[in-house]
Amino acid sequence: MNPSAPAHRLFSAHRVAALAQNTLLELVRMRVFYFLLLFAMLVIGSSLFTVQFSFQDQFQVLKDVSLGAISIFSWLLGLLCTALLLPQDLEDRTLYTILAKPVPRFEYLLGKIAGVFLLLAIAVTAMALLFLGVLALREQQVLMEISREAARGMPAVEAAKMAADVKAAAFQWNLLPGIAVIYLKAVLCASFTLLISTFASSTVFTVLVSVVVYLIGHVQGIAREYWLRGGDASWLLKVALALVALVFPDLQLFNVVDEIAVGTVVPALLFWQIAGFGLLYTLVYGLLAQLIFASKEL
Amino acid sequence: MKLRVCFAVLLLAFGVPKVFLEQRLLETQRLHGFQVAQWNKGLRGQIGQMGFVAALSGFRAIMADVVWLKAYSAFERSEWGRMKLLLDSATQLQPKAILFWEMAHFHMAYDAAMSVRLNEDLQPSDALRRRAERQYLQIGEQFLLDGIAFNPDSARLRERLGTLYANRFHDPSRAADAFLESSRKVGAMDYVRGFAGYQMAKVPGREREAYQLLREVHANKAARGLQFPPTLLHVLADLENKLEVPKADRIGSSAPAQ
Repeated sequence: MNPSAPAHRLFSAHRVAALAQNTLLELVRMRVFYFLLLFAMLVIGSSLFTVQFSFQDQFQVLKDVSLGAISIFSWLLGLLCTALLLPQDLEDRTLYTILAKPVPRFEYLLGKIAGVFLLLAIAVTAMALLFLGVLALREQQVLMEISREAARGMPAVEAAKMAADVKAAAFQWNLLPGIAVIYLKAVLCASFTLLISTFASSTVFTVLVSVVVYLIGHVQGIAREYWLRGGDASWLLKVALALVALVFPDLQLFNVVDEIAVGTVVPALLFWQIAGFGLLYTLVYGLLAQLIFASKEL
Repeated sequence: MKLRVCFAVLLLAFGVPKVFLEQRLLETQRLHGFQVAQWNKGLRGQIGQMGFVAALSGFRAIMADVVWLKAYSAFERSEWGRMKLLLDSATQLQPKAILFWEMAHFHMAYDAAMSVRLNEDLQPSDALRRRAERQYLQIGEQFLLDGIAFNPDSARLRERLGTLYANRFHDPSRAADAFLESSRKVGAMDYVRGFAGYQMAKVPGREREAYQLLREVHANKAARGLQFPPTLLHVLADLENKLEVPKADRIGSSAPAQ
């Protein structure tokens, strides 16, 4: 052992950052960002399609479609990229090369998932910018139409009211916390997928189970409320409901964007509660994934 | 084996506090107007199994838009019954969208009601046409009342309710109350209080209340250097005559109310 070499540390942020960077690069090389083209087509297409409706309808459909698309694309991206992480490294034998060096398994796992989180952050930011850009463009077009109407003789009070209505229906600052919650939901789903992939036998299994968890996660709230209310359900049903409530995350709690799109304001405290909850889920599923991965025979 | 037990214990240990935290967060969200969509069999029947799954899976707003667009195409074909069912689904999926409630009431109370009233080919009996018109008016009113229940702070829906009572139900008393309620909400239009006074002036027994309200509107406009609408000035003058207000205290014109 070389006495001049720096002592090996149990945890190194540099090692995690290197792994995260490498994971991000690998995923970018898989050309995952091509989906942005699809997203752009969807947003611009829905923007053009709704021109025939009133401006409130136009903005509402544009917001709903874009936010829904950000949500589904970010979830799919997180799910597929995470499901590929471990099997790909096992197939390429990169995993053995990395773990043969003094890199603890939790650092490896943390670096890998951090790479996916970074990818999601870039993707969600890009989609949000594209959506907000199209929204701003449509807003300006409608405002110009109103100016032209005003020049043709529309009463000034009416034109001012219409312009105010357009501004109220288009961009609102509370869209930003809504987009942040979409990102957190994708991160949570990615961490759950990582947990599944630590014991899964194949990528297909990981993807299928993650999709099922995603679907159950959205009805978990109904099961939980029914279970907590008690009622006259059979004990077998109660046990099943309890298991669903205890094991699965309530993903419906992260669907605040539907109301945000129609102007409901998210109070700061509520936003931080949702964010905190999302981070707690992510942490717990990450720790459980580490527990399994640490004792996995490779 | 030991690992599996450890994993299950940890998952359940996290699960117990998680369930109660989730329930609390859900209640907080509902308090702030989130998670208010109604899931029921009727909705499932209207939007289909896949639509219901999509709506449950976080794409409720998109599903509401899809149903809304279907309702629009039903409107283009004057299929009022089908349109009503689709509007029910759209508003159930997205109950916080003021626009949906507002347009749903308008399509029912104005478009559908007028269409069935005037369509002699569909129903030759005038009495039955009038009955159908009344039914659509009530459906329109119900959309607004439900919309207000979901959005109690909406000035716009109350204003529309006032307009509906005034123009279609010819009920100035309820119209005045709806306009007055609207004027008390944040974001109410400036003219709504005047509308309330205008409608109230038509109600026998509420003349003094109407007079006080219109004087307040007049004073408010004068303080801000705004012009008082001539129609309201005539109403005010009429009320001053009815209430025998002393000449020195009068502000209305002597012209008769229109």
